[in-house]
Amino acid sequence: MIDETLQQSINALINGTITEAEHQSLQNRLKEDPSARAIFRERMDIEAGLRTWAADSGAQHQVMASDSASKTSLRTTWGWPIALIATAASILAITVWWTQQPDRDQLNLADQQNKPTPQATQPTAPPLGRWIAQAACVWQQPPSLPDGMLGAGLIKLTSGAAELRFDSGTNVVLEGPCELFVNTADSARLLAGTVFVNVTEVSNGFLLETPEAQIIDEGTQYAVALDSLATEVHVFDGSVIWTPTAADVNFEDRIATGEARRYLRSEPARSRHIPFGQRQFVRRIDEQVRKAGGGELLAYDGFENLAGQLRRDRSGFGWSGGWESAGFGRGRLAEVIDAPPGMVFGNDRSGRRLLSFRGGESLRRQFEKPIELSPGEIIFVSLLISRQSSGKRFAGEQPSGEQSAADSKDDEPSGAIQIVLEPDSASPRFTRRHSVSFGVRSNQRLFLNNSGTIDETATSLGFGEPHLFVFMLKAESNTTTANLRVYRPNELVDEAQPSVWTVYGTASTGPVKFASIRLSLGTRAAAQIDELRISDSWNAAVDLAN
Amino acid sequence: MTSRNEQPDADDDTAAFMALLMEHRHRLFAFIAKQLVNPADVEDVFQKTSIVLWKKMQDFDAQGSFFHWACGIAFNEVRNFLTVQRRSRLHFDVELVELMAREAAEEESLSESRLDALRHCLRELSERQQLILQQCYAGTESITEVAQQLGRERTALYKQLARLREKLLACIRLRITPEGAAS
Repeated sequence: MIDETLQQSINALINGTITEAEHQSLQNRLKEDPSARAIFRERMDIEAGLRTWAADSGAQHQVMASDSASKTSLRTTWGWPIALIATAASILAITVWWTQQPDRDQLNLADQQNKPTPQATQPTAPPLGRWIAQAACVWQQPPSLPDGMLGAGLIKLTSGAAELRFDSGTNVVLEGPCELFVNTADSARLLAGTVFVNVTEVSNGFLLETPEAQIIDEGTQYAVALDSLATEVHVFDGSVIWTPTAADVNFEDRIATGEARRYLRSEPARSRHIPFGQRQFVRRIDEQVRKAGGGELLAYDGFENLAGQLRRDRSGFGWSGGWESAGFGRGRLAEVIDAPPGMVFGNDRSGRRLLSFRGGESLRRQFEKPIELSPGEIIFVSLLISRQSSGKRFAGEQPSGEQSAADSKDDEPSGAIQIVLEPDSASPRFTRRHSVSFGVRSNQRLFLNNSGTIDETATSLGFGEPHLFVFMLKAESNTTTANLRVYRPNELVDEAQPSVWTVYGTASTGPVKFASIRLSLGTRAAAQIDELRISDSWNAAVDLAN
Repeated sequence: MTSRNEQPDADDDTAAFMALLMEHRHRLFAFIAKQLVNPADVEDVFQKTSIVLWKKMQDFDAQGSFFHWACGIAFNEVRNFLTVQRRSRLHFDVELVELMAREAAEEESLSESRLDALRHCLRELSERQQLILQQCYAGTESITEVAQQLGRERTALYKQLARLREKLLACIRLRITPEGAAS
């Protein structure tokens, strides 16, 4: 048998197409020939390595298609990680059960093993939370559970930033390179690298361990950087207690807001004060979006808001505060909910959050500073909108004042969605008359309203699927022009400003200085909104990858 | 205030075990693959092995090699599997499986070097090539399904996979020590 024949037989064996005679022949060759076995082992290392790499890649969603056809064919693949994590889940389940037994000697693991359904394929331990990451993250070992769920185990991040959102209410941002072992929903061990810990108001606390110490929070935001020589602790809010774990060390160090300490790994019971604020930490995914935007993003809200408190300035950047009702009262605001798992325009939204908007709601958020356009300058507003099935007014709810007026003015059962750039003016009447807006009317027509000059295009937008809306407003010497481009699900997004728009606006003498943005929904509409971006470049407007 | 862990010993054990398993999982998977070949069989045995490793963790000498200890248990699981499954698919006989297991365990460092090199070499492929490999090896779709998605003939896809493997093999051999390459 020549080597080519050997390779063909090994191929057939791997592909499952080998005949019984070929199998017997291959077996005989392998038994007799050490060099054939060496070739076989080498080939099987590659096969096994490709299997595990493919599974890891599926977990990371690292491999992105370079054209639209392959984008649509991307699938999340979890076979191998699921096998391992399911095993881990089973082990953890056994551990929990074991540790809760009054008499461990009574443990009969054989009974666990002999259940009809294998434990390994029936994970019984609940996930500990969720995780999100920059698309550009490089993982050596991701926190791989399906749909962005977070399980116990080792995480190794080579580069980029990722955020672990524990169900206990604590968020931990990993800044690559970083190694972290997740123990439970309220504890983890940092092995190397940098983490930022945000113990939110809904958390009962979080225990972060390092190889030499425990860091116990007292309701706080802090960062820890661990390298081979020393550990640094920086506290942004609240305080933490540093306690070395060595049994013979009696030392406790409290670090308060605005303080930073450095502890040599060889001397964890001796603290050194270091300047606070000199070291930069990735505090939120938002910050990574801001960096990726290269300064071209003027404002952003991904609604990555764990507690869903829209009124607090907890998500995004470029704003002067949180969202507020644009109606007359302080009624309910829209909800922030978990985004459905899956790919949106080639990017994984699993584990992310979005704004769930229901009939009659209207929200406003002020920009950090007014956005003003000089002649020749352009502003882009982009967002993902998923229209939900045409709604009914919810029981007991009243539409907001402005929306109610709009409904009656239009004299139609409003399923409209409006995104409004509001001018910098103290006069509500001026603001109402000179706003620039775009969206969908309840008759399905896409519209642009450039300070009262309205243009429409007939279209049919499906329900339940996210569409990417990109609005452009350009200032000329005395006028402004506006265009709108709407991308359907999985449609290839233009890499540069498109030459063809979905709706072309008529030039108008509109305002060029905007103070806020308003999102309004008709009384019979429901929608999910995500990735709101205001930028001065096309690239930053459509870059959903971050 | 933080609630401290009430079961530190058990949690530490679990954490230590998971760390070891995660560290050695690729080589352990490859070790099993060299005896069983079929990916579904390998995954089954890998899962069972992981459970047994956990149950027997108290028998593990922390000063010893986790990989070699795990290989011993994995080998027993392979044999148990073959006892039950032998008739359902063509498998190697016990004599060859034992030979393969022994030699696979002996070349632990070489196997690890290959797996490390493979990951480096994969990064040198184009995104398109990586995507094809990822789809074909993820195990969720058959080669026929992947070929249909890519708009290619099944045989053409097999040929492309073979070329990609040859490219990877050449790259791996270049990256590891000369004696590591199979002649």
